[in-house]
Amino acid sequence: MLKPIKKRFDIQITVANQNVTKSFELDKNIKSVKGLLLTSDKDDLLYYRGSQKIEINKEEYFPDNYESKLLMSGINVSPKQRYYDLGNVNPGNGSVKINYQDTDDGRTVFASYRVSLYVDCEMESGV
Amino acid sequence: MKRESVIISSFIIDNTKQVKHFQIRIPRETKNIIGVEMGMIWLSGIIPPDPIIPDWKLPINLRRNLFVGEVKLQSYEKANMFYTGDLVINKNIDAFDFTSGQFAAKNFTHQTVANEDEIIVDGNSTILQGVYKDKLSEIIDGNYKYKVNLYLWMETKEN
Repeated sequence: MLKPIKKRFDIQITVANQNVTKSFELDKNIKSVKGLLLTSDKDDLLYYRGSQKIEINKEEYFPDNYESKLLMSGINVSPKQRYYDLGNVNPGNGSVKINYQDTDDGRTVFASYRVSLYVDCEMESGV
Repeated sequence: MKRESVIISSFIIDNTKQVKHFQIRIPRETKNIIGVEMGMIWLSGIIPPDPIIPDWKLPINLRRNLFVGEVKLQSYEKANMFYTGDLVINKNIDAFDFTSGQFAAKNFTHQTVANEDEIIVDGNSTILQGVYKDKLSEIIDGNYKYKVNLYLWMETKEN
């Protein structure tokens, strides 16, 4: 039986115009990836300054320069609809790679911030 | 299984009333072009602040959105444009929101799910042609510079 589970992976942006690449690994008993969501502890900085590339199982789903705001959902969206729908992606080797780029934007002043990537998955339960 | 991918085309607007012509190469494996999204990064210049609302404000407090520019796309395989869209900075995200009296609603807190504009255009064309026209000069005085990102979503052929 498959049960839904959410995974969270964090990266920290400490310097303006920083580029951070990080790989994360999903649990082995995760059988499909259904969606993605980006949030931050400083939403305005992520919204205006962020762009990223995201790969799952070495397959690119969002290319370089894809703006973070297109993967964010505000609090006006009901909780069950906040994730960007990927369909049912086979996680393969379970690797999730994010290449995040911070870019100066005239509407914000930089401060260190956290970017959280939430992954909506289905996990094979033991029972 | 349907597979989707996205191509990003970016260009910089640094002159008032600038008109930018661009071309986007469509990958060989494209079956259909299924969606268009737009975004922008503000590089320099001053965006006019929101007007100060007087004490006697109306029950519905609407502000003018900033019309940044318009884009038109055409496939060489088809006559006429298949897409025309506006790049707009939304200044009214808090309108009709019952929480906005206590909590200042912003785009980055209250935006709804960002969906692309759906279109269906045959992907057999090798190149798309586009025109972007800056309209911000009708609202803002002085120099400014921004980067426009155009996202083309495609349905690709399976191997």
